[in-house]
Amino acid sequence: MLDQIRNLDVDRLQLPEALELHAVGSATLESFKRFEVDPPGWLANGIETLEVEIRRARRDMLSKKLADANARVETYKSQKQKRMDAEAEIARITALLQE
Amino acid sequence: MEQGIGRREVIAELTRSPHGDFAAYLPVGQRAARDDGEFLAHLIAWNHKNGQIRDSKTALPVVTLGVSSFNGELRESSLAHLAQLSPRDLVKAYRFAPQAGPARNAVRKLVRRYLREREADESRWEYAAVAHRSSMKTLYAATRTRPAAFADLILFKRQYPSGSLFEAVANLGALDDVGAAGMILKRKVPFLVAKGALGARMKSEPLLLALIQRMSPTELATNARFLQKAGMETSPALRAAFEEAMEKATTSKKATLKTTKAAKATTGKMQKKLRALQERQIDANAIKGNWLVLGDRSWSMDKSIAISREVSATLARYCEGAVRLVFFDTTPRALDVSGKTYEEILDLTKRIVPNGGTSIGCGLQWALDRKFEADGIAVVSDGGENNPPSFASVYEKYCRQFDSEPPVYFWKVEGDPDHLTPSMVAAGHDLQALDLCGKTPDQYSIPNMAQAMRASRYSLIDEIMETPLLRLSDVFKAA
Repeated sequence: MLDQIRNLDVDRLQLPEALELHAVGSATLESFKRFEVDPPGWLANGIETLEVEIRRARRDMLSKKLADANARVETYKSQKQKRMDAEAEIARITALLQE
Repeated sequence: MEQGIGRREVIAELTRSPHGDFAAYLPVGQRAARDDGEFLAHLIAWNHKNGQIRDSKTALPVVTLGVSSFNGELRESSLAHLAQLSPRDLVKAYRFAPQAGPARNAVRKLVRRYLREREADESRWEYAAVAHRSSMKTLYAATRTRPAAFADLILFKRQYPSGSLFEAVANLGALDDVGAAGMILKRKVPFLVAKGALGARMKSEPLLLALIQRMSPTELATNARFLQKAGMETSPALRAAFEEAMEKATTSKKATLKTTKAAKATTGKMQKKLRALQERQIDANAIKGNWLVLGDRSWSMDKSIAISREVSATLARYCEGAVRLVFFDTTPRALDVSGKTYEEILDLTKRIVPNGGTSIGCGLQWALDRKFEADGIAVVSDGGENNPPSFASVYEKYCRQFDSEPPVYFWKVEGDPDHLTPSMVAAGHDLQALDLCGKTPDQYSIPNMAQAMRASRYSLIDEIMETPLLRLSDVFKAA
């Protein structure tokens, strides 16, 4: 696994793999610190790259969940609510056109 | 039929995959049903779970129904496997049945039971009918099965009950993008059905998001290029949906070949992700051991050279160990192709042209001299040895040297008379023949056949025989 961090290519990783590598890399880095041995540069760089990628994947996942939730809410709206939404949209666009 | 060789021949026919030509399964299928019915029944079960070629899952069970000696639990297992097909494939089975002998009545009775089973669960029936409307109509009409009242209204009179899945699909076009996306997710509308209902609108982000979540692993691979062009990589939500879908596709055995094609069709990060997915899928189907591929490059062996490249490329992809490709005429020309792609192998071997005499043994002698211990050997040739050393003589020395007997798979192409097989038999050695004489394997056949090779002579056969047969009660739950 350390070899994967050394030759890191985040484009090929799935999120669970990235999390696993981050855990292994972080634990290894801690060991270096504990024994007061200088860690290799690629280890810290790799961990940082993985963190960026994990945060990116998490934000993407949240965006997806939000979009899914909005889509599902739409299906529960009554005809009356949908009409009100459409009328509000008409009013908004009319106001913009009059600017 | 001698057990070892006969069963291999059946497997080879199965993996040869003549696309769309069910009748091509008749000769070997009928013979196998008569001579080794138990093996064929287990092979049908194994193929249903592990096979990548859909035609064989439809054709083989039908072929067995036309053989009178294939009876009892074996026959029941064939029927049960047919009952697991989609409506579309079941239509194909019904249309093929007359060619298989007296099989049509059995298939007709099965179709009726299949339709009644689905009618007993309206939501299950509805889902099948939405995804396969035309096939479901054909099944009712062709077998003269009177549909249940609700089925008749929906399929034949197009009257959709309020709140039904049919009504939801019919109204998709009238909803805005977000509303349509929500409906697709809520009602689990199949991808192809939603795509048909939405047309060009499906490129909008909310709809793409919903559709990605409805795609099977195969559909994901097939539509990868379209998704990339639609801007999937620039949208966080679409990226997340795609990555989630790819995680699910990792364990898919069915999508491996499609993933390979998709990876070639895409670029950049998407291509990297697909190649990584391909490797994970391959890991799930890895072939064990080191392999030696001996490719005949003697006079007129163009086909052998082409097939050798494909076989070695497949092994290089799927093999856990090392792969050596040795082209031979009367001298060997060896290459280490471990981990190489087909394109890389093509480039390395572009100057290999057919010429010279034939000494299959010189290829194996190379491996012996280099102490390359192969767990399996594939020989692609017409078998027309006309120069020493003979393969059989070197094989004896090879087995003594490494104290093992690696299985030999003989991919036989047309050409000179085959001396390899009789010499191996005379020396008391087994040879697994894959007969390609007069046949042109397509792009799926060779990887399929190569993946069926095993480093242990009978491990695939053991795997097949251990696959349990099905009973109709396993498939039909309704009374």
